[in-house]
Amino acid sequence: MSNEHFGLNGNLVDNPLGIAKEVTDNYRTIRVLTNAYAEVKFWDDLVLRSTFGADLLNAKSNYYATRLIALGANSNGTASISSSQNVNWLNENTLTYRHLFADKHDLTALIGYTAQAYHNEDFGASASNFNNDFALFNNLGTGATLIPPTSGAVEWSLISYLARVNYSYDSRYLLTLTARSDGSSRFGPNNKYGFFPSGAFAWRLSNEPFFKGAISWINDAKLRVSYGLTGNQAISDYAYLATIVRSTAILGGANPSLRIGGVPNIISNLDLGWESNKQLDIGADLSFANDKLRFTADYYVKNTADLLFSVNVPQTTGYSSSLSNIGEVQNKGVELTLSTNLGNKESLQWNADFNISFNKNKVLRLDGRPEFLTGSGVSHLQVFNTILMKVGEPLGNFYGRVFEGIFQTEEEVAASAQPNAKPGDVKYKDLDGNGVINDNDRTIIGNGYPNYFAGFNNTFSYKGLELNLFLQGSFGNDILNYGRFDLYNLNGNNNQSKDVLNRWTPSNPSNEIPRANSQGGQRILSSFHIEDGSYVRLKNVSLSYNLPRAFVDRIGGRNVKVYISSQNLMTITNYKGYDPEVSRFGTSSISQGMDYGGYPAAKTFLLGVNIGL
Amino acid sequence: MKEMRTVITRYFAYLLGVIMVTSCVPNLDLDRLDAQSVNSYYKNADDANAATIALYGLIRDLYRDEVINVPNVVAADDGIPFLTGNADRVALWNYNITSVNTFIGSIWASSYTGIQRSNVVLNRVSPIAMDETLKNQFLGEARFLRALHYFNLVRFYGGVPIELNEVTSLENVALPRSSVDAVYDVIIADLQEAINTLPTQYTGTDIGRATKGAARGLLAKVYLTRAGTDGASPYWQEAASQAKTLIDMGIYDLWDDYAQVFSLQNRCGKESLFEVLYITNLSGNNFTTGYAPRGAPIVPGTGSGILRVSKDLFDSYGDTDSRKAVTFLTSYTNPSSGALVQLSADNTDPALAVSFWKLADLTSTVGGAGGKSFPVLRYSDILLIYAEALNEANNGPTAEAYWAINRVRNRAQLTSLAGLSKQQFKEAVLSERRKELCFEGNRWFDLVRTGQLVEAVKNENSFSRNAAISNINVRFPIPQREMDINESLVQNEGY
Repeated sequence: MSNEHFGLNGNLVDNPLGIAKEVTDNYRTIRVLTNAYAEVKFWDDLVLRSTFGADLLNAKSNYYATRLIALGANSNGTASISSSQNVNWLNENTLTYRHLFADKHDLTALIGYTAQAYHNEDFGASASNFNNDFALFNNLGTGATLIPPTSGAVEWSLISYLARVNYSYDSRYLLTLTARSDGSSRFGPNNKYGFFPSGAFAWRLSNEPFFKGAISWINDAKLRVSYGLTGNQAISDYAYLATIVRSTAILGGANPSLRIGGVPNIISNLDLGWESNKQLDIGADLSFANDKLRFTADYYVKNTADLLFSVNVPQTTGYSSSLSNIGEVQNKGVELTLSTNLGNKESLQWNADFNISFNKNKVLRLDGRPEFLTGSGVSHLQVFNTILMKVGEPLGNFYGRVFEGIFQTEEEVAASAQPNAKPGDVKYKDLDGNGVINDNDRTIIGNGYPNYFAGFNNTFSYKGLELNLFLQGSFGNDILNYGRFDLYNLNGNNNQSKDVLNRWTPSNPSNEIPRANSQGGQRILSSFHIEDGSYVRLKNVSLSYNLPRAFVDRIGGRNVKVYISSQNLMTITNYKGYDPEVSRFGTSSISQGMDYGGYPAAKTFLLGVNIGL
Repeated sequence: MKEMRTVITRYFAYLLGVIMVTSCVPNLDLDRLDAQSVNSYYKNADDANAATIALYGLIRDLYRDEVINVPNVVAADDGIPFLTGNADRVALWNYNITSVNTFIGSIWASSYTGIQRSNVVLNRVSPIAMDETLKNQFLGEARFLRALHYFNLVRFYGGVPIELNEVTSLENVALPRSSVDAVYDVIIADLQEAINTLPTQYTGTDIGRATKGAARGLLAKVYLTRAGTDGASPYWQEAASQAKTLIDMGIYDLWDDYAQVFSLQNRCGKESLFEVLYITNLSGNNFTTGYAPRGAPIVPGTGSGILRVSKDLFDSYGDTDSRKAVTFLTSYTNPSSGALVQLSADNTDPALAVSFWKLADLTSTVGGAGGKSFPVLRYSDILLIYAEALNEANNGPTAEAYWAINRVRNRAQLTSLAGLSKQQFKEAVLSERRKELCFEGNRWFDLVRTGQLVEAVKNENSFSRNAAISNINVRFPIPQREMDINESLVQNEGY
């Protein structure tokens, strides 16, 4: 393998070795964390505490691509440097009163004020066309082409007022009441503050006198109920406010020059405010037989209101989307955890944790609209609006046509709603039965959320030997595999999945893969692109051995452990993409279960020795 | 003593606590540091000017990218796209047109983005206390460009939603389509107002902004389009009258040589009513690298061959037509081997295809960054509008009509026409428009306007085009994205 670039359809393409050898790309940070506090005790019961912390971060990145690879070949070397400086300070002030009355009433009351502010500045500069590759990014001024520098600055701030009361009676009844008002710079002037009260009550049955004697095999039992609101402000800074961004025009006739124009970047939303989660949680914790077996069960109903959502707007506004508080969605479900601790230290011991969660979500309200299409897409594929949000339906519904196989004969084409198709083309279901296939023939073709999700962690130990197995699985979720738009398009322009060897030809009447067609690969979402994303994965397996005490003492250490471990060793799935666990849009609740060749979780093997001195 | 120290420490700590609490009150009303927000903008003549300049920032992309020009070439009969390239471009050519075609989405999105920018200027600049003449110029520029965008929209889609106000909230933004007539009413009112307030000329760095002549020229074209195929339409006379007024202004004229029209030094010259400017290498267009034969090593970055010239168009030029050599690249010398490469309109190899060349800037050294202007409206276009409109309004060619078309023909080293019937003259004008104005964003519009699209597309059937075209295709579909989020929209028939 050489590090020379090569041509593909007239385009220069780098090979990975070339990129690895000829690109310098490093990033360094210096970070200082400071924290100071002052505490004043007025009486033993009443304490004023004030803390001040600052997080100072300085980062610099350097990049250089040499002329030996396509990334720098046309520009005779490309260099860029950038640097950023962050200051993030937090001040918390609380006045706490704590008193134990009559040995049984434990009361803690707190009022507080916290303030936080963040300030970031960054700049970057780039140049290209260097005489040679010697100086890398260390002397941008010698580049013949200087790229305009960039710089920016961002601030945000957050203020909270809070009050909390904790009361416990005899370690049997536990009550917490909280009220907080949070103000964020990120929201519009009409809704900067949100009010978030909550309350929780727990009853430790096992501390009741009637329980203690009666049910001895249960050593701990607790019932919990809580209801509360929390706020979410995870949006970008200044997101509500239209700012003037530059739009560069060219004027000047035969001697043209760049002229800087200004245009609002978004439609301002002065009402933009906090998203709130209203959550009811009812739970029980039980522990049996001296903690040999522990069981936790939770039932929850979480309504997320005033969802912060970048809603698509008609382009006739001049914009394509606008950040708004829309509607309400509900998540409810059950989470069960069972833990065991069997055996004993001297012989074989088995610790196991099994948890399973069932969650159902539903759209309750959508800003007055019954439904709309949304979903983050893959921009170069131009596949958008893949998600149907509809009142009464779950989140994460994929919306597209129904793939009905492949046309086999001219007769079949003639009898269908796709008269221009040819044998070998994809056949769609005519859902509205009007004899025409178009975007009115779309329906819900899958859902990105699992029916249930489970994890099973086991640790077996025997003497110094320890084996850990962690299995995890997701069941019933679909994945929109964007990769299929490229890997099955059969138009001769890019690499294909090996499945296309089984494509339709007159002699191979496939009903799964369409024919090769230079004008094929239309980017129409259908159930062809949806796959079952269920999986069970051995996330982690490790075997370790703690060397015997006697041996360790002889070499003068505290402990010596040798181990071998592997992550993602085995996955059972029908999903054809790289990795069913990958999500292109991270934790986005709207665009779940989408994959576009995301970098798969690596299968790693680790062999190690741990020596404690 | 120890007690004393404890007291001091305690009070010091107390004081520190109070300082911390009181000094740490951050401001929640943060405005941006790196850019002005709308709240502090639009306060003076400089802001008004910048808001107006942004209108030109948009059309720079509208005409540099393939938004307006390419559909006019490939969906008509002038050119063939690179057949294994962008599938949506190929779909425009063989009329496999769907509402998810990206070109169709881009026309809609870019045009309405431009309209909103004009609406912002009209809404925000009006109240600024500043020189009234200058303010009226800015408002006139906004109206001219808004009219241009609506004119493109109504020709591509038919009746479209009309938004004449700056959108400042998300209330009532799902607009229904208006009628074709209503859209034209907006266009005509805007252009008439722009004619009243725009200056005739600019100097220095402002050359290239919309002028009175640009607005009047566009109005003539609007009336011509509005007349359609109706021989009795009063709009023929309106078009002729606007063109006549423009000609009588006396500030526009043809260059002697067709090549001069597209030269860098003649940008915004005497033949130009409105053009979109670019800067060689710094901020150019793709008409050089993009449209050179595929892989041809004669342009920076080698040619992309996005489009090739149809044989039908290439053969329509007579041998003596001086425009042919300016418009097309028919051969080139390979700079490294010295070999002469002959290009052809037939050869299926896109590396050997006759290419559109009149907007190629051979001084550029950066790929995709040529500096020639995109001509939106030229004086020869006005002369041909004048000739066509007079022929229709007077039920046959008048002396003035012959004068107008022959000025264009004579400049191309062609003989004068004489003694034609109304129909013959009409055909002559359309043929002249095709040759004079090809690759300038006119052909598809002209074919639709004259009711000849379907026939012309079926006639240009090279490269196994087999276009699935029918009468419904005189309009593009409303983009599916818009249909999906705006329930009040009704799709064009047949899509």
